Amino acid sequence: MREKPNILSPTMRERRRYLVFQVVSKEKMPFSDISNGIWHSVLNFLGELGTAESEVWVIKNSWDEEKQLGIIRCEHTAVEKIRTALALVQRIGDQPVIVRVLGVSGTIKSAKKKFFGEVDLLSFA
Amino acid sequence: MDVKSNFSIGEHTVSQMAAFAQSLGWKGIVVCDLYKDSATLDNLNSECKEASEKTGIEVYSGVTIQPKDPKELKKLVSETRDKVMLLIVQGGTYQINRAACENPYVDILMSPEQNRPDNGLDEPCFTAAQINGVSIGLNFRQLLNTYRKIRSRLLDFSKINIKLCKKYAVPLVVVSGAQSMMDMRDPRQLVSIANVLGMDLPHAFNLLSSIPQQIIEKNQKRLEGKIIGKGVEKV
Repeated sequence: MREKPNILSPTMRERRRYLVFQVVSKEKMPFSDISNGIWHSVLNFLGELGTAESEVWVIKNSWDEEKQLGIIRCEHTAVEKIRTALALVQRIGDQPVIVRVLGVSGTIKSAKKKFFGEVDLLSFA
Repeated sequence: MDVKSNFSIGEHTVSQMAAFAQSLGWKGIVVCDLYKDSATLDNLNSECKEASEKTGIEVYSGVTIQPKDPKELKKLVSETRDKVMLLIVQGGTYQINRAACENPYVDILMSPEQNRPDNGLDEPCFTAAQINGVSIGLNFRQLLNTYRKIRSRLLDFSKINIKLCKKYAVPLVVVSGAQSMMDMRDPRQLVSIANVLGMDLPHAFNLLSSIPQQIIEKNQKRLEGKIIGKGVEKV
């Protein structure tokens, strides 16, 4: 038996967008603090129902601690709301921070190519 | 727009604010410190010129006045108008909001909904603002520093003001109101706030680009003495 259900067909899937953000602060911060701060701000601004409808998720694997870059996934109609919620992040822990959105992408792969400087090895073939 | 420096209540110098604004992607800022006296305004003007040369972005000087009544508003406007590029009136009471909308020398009426149980403006105010070319300002810092109930009320009143501005064709601007570097946000995030509050995206971009530019161009002509009276201009 399969452990995971089959992937839905493209027409049935939700249309998602990936926002690449950069955290501007005096000291470098770990992913857990950033994730908590973002969730707090999004829940405060959009409420529980709004957050659920926006399908927000902060992606852990893509957090770059060196560059302080990360990716947030959301529904394609909720991009502007998430941008606003990120603009309203003022402080995480004791530190004042700015969460700056660098851009929006349709896939994680292209977001990493554009903003993280990752190179696709297949392009050399 | 509407950045405060250490000339009044801000934490950082004009050059520091300008350099940080440049790193966030701004092409120009207007430093609008609270009005103290004319000597401070002259110092601010020279500081802005220096910062502009140092950083390479456009840095203009402005002033924010906080009058107690319409009479004081008139007096402060006549004192400051010819010295700065941008004149902002801090809204609050209905009398001040209305007097600011009826004064053609005022550029922006900032946060008319501040500390009020309503949006602070009505139909005669919007009509007067449209005739006199007074813009309504939406202050981002106010949203940033409030939480839950107060923030939701502010968002509600801002939404009403945006709707009425669209109806009466009154120009609207979104300003950062930053008092320190960490209060600043990049322009695209301010656009998204206007969009969330009911402004469609192409018009929301204008709130941070073409409308402030028009105000600056108009005042540049006024300071150069090209505008003689209402509708009369030296070419």
